[in-house]
Amino acid sequence: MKRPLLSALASVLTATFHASAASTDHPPEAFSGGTTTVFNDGKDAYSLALGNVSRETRRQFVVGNSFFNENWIIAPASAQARDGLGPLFHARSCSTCHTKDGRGAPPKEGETMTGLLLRLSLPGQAPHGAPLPDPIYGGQLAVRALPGSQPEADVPIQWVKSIRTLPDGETIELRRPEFGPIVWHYGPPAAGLLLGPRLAPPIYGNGLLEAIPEATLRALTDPDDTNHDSISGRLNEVWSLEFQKTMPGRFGWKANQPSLRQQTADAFLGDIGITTSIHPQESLTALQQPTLGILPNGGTPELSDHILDRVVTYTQSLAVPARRQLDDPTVRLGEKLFTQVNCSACHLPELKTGSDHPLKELRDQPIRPYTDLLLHDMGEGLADLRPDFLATGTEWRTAPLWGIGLNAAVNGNTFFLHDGRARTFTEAILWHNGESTPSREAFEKLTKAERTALLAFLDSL
Amino acid sequence: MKPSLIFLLVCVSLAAASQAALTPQQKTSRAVVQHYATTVHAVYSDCLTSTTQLRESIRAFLAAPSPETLSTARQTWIKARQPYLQSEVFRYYAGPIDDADGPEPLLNSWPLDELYIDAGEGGDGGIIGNEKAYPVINAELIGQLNLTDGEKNISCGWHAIEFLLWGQDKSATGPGDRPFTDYTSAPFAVRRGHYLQACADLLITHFEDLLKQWAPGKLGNFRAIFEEGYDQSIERLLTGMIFLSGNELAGERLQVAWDTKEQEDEHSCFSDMTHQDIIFDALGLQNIYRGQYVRLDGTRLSGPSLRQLAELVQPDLVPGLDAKIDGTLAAARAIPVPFDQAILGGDDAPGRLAVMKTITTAEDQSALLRRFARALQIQIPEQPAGDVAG
Repeated sequence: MKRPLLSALASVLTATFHASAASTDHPPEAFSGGTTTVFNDGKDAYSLALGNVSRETRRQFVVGNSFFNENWIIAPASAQARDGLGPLFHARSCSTCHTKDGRGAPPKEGETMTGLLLRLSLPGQAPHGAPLPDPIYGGQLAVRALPGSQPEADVPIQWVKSIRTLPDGETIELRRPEFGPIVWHYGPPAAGLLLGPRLAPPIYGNGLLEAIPEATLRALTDPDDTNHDSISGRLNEVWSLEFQKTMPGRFGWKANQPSLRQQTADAFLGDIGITTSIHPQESLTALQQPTLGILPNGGTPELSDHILDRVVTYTQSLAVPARRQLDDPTVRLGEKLFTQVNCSACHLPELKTGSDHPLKELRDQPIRPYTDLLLHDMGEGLADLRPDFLATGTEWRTAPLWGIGLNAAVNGNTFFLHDGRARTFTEAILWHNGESTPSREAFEKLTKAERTALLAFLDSL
Repeated sequence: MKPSLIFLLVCVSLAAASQAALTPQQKTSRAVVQHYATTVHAVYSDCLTSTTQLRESIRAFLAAPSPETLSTARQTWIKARQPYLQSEVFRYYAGPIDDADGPEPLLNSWPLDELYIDAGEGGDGGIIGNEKAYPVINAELIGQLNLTDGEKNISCGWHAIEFLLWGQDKSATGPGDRPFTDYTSAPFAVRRGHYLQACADLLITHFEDLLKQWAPGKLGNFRAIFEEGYDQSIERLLTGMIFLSGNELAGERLQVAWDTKEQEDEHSCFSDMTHQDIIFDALGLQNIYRGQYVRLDGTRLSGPSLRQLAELVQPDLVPGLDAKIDGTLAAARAIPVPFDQAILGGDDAPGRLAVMKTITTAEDQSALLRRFARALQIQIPEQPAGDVAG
């Protein structure tokens, strides 16, 4: 524990910043989540309860937090509340991939995937428009299994690099992942298998996104580009298991999840192998059932509704950290350029939550999420060619940008986009094609100083 | 990156120059802060003394494993926890214990996944049973493996030692009963011994480091800067109290176990000593409020207290603060032992009522301390600056 004096002084000053930050003399843009905003720019910046949290919600948050971090173990075990891992799984806890409630990291070459997973499907559609699963491997590849069983596959990853030269001569190295040759442990998959890599996204702020009225989202859509700005914007319409009807998709890289409750239950099942009342059966295909379905489980369901409710409340009530450096002229210039090159057409700076979310803390909040939650065609370079309900193989949901500048502080990295290929904001921007091509080209034509300002703006979010 | 001596001298002389112009509130604050620093140093000194005794008892146990030497090691662990628990009120303001370089995650992370450390039902061998991946077990290795790939992958600290001494608690009435033969004839016995020894060694280095930062009269250590502040340092002192009572004690330590009724969610689940954790955390809070601390050797420290500052600034808050601070300690002492049985049953069961009373009193205490902070015109952040989850 070496601590030079300057670092001690710095920590005194930091503590002072924290204190003054809690006061109310901030410009309105600092409050990314309205009165739910928290003022923290350290490693816990994504892990805090809503700034306006009630005593009752905080009590539930604390319990949900505990289970979010919980390592699940093999059933049967004396720890009955947390046994039932697998038989196939991706990770042992939520926090393994969503580290500090933040973003996952893609694997290096030679590593088994952790913060990244692969969704699977075949051309065509399952009932309600869901992706069509592979008969052996289902809809998600499990790269881990209980001792004595085989994981579904070993997936080597290679990073393919290329160089992009900007108009002013600056060169940027880009990379994209290639998977394979995949070693399948339960026989060959069906012909035409589609792979959808998905990086574990950050969790904070999702309650506020859930609280945006459906009518607001519908009003933002422009499927036929009637305003001729080259940007369409479509709402995904997905099947709700809870309500047994089609609802707007809000969460996931292709907006394929209608609610945080379903998102959470899907993740417990697909990622950890934990059943809930929403998914009472293990995620095994008929062909896996005879061998893996007979293994002991951790109860029916393995996660009670009581605890599921707590984890859902937890994901709903993780706060968005405040914006910073608002008095820095470079940041202000970058903010202007962000609008000027029309990033803000999809990364919408301002929205308002509705009045009917179950958590009253989330209601009627002016928020600054920098997303429209809509699907946009991002071009071939980024496409996984795997459709998901209404989302085509080239469409992605606009990623929220609030809090993104703290990713390095929380997760020690800046891996962006659905497969974590981008290592910097610049790389992420350079992968924008399709509807976002004019904005990306406008960014490339900015001067170096202007580009730096735009990146400084992103860092202030 | 060494600060210039001139810079330091400027800091010190500025502080000295401003001394004369202090208001009565600032003068009392300064005295409270200085006594607090003395208390912190005394508490960490006691931690070093008691963990050194723990290491000795662990050495004696590993040199001659028997039911008796194991029992002595366990009793030493229980005693050693007492000063440490009283130090938890020094967290949450990014001080030496939990700033970016602070040892807190290595010291008291919980609840740990025992299968990450050792072989057992439902696991894959853990670090101890995985000789191929970890051929040599030492303090450096277990420090590196802490909190990798999951926030419950805890490899070291108090609760790792607790698990290695007691084992999983499968008894309704008593703690875990790991046999001493886990260190003689059981599989991986030697590696388990190395692991236990490494945990004890690591614990001691943390307290040695903390003592350096809080040592008196050391130009440039944390204490030197801390003692020069009054409002800022009072803010930290209060931040530690507010978050220990409202977030950690009422929330992580009590609410989770109360809600799930699960033994795995109690703080010291292997030794069944959770009641001690709650009581001594509450005592640590009272120590700072009343400006007192009873050392390991029985000597009593006492001096300018937060309570005196409250009497000066906002006397009408004092009766409420007295009631909540003493009330949390009294409520903690009233929780039936063992804690893992107290949380069971209906919400009107005596144990659950006692736990809920402690939760509510600790939350109230936290809210009242916030009100006190506002009276001092100090803004306490909504969330702690240090690690929330630990």
